[in-house]
Amino acid sequence: MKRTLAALALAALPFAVQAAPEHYTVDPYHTYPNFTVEHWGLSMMHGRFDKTTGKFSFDRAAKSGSVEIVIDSASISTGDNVKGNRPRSRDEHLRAADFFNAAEFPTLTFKSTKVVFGGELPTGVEGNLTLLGVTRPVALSFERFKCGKNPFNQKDRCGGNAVGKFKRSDFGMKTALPAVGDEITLNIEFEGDRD
Amino acid sequence: MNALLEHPAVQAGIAPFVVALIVALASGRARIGWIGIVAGYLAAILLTTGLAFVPLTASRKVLLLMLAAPAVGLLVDRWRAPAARIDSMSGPLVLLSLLAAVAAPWVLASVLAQREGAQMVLPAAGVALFAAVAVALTLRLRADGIATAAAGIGLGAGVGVAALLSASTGYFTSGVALAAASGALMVAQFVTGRMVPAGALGALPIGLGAALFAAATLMLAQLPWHALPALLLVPLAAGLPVARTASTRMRAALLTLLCLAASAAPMLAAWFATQAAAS
Repeated sequence: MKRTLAALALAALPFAVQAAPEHYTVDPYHTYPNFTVEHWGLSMMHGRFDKTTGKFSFDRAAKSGSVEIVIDSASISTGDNVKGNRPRSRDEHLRAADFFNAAEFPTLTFKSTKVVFGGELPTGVEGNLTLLGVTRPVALSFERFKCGKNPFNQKDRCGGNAVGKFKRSDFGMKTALPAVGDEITLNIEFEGDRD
Repeated sequence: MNALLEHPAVQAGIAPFVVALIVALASGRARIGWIGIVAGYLAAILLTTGLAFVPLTASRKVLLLMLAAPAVGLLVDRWRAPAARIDSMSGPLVLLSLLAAVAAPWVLASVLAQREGAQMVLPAAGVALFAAVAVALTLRLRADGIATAAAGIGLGAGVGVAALLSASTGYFTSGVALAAASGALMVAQFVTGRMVPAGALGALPIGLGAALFAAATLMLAQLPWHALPALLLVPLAAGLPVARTASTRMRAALLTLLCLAASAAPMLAAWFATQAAAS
């Protein structure tokens, strides 16, 4: 009887390991939140944040998980950081009180409330975005979410692209509306190594 | 109509001017017309960011204090007549300057709290001292409606243009709105040919507003610190004994020109800072 139980326990071990939550730390060199916003009703302008930290975890068996991303608001870059003969560059203006107000609000955060699964891996995440001290729900869907091995250290590694939309005016960012569009498309390219 | 109201010139200049002028003319020659200063500023806020106080950010604290300033000014005017000697600074006026010294660091507390040591203490002490002096110098003018309005035009233009050069369109709008509303009060006195004392009701929002706009642009955008003392040249210029025996209209023209000339100092300070940053 004891042998049978031990055999069953050994047989079940791989499933128990599989069901354990997997924790990942965001790789800041391969994680860049970026966004698009309409300009004067003409083009869709792109910008990104160069400094991001965070963690994510998921449990394939329990279909649960969590995501926490912290973005350095002063790290914004829209490709215009050299002012030349102008008084200020666009990026300097975006860091000031009119937009991201980096002195008063040095970070933007996203904290999940629910991770959505479509099979073994997550397909989206619902959570709260905090921007300019205002917290509002934002849903991100994963355009891709893949897991494999880090070729350098053979650690488990997952990454993908998450995309979602929100209105900046909902967070009190109203400067230059409607010349600079209200709807922001947020796209986070992310990778993380398993802890 | 929407396109018109979304134009920056309407939001910052025309709407505040028209609103303040209506308030000033509707009140006849009564001092209450000076509430037009805050009415004009409020018009600019309503057309741009709108009224909101949660979360209570630094910019929203500025708005809150600006809305409270006329009420505090009225109380002080009831306590100490606005037509007192122009250099009278005793009692409640000293108290108002001290309150401004407390208000400025309070507005910027969320930024200052992220710093340590001298990085926190020096800016806090600096903006407190600046706000106290700016309010004191403006309140000294309160018995002279022409000088107060001229100071408002110069302070608003100076801080507004300096803010624009320092990456803040929000405080550009606020500064220009202050200048436009003060201009409306000047026009009202110019048209009637009669000076109406501003009292603390008119002088406090002008002095406090300009001080807080400048302090916020210093901490939340890129205004150089030396633009702040440069801005103080404006109320000093407005208080110069220029053509005191001349007609109201002549004094209005002369003091406006003098204050606008003084407002070039903070503008130039901001401009040279942008040039230094470029090299």
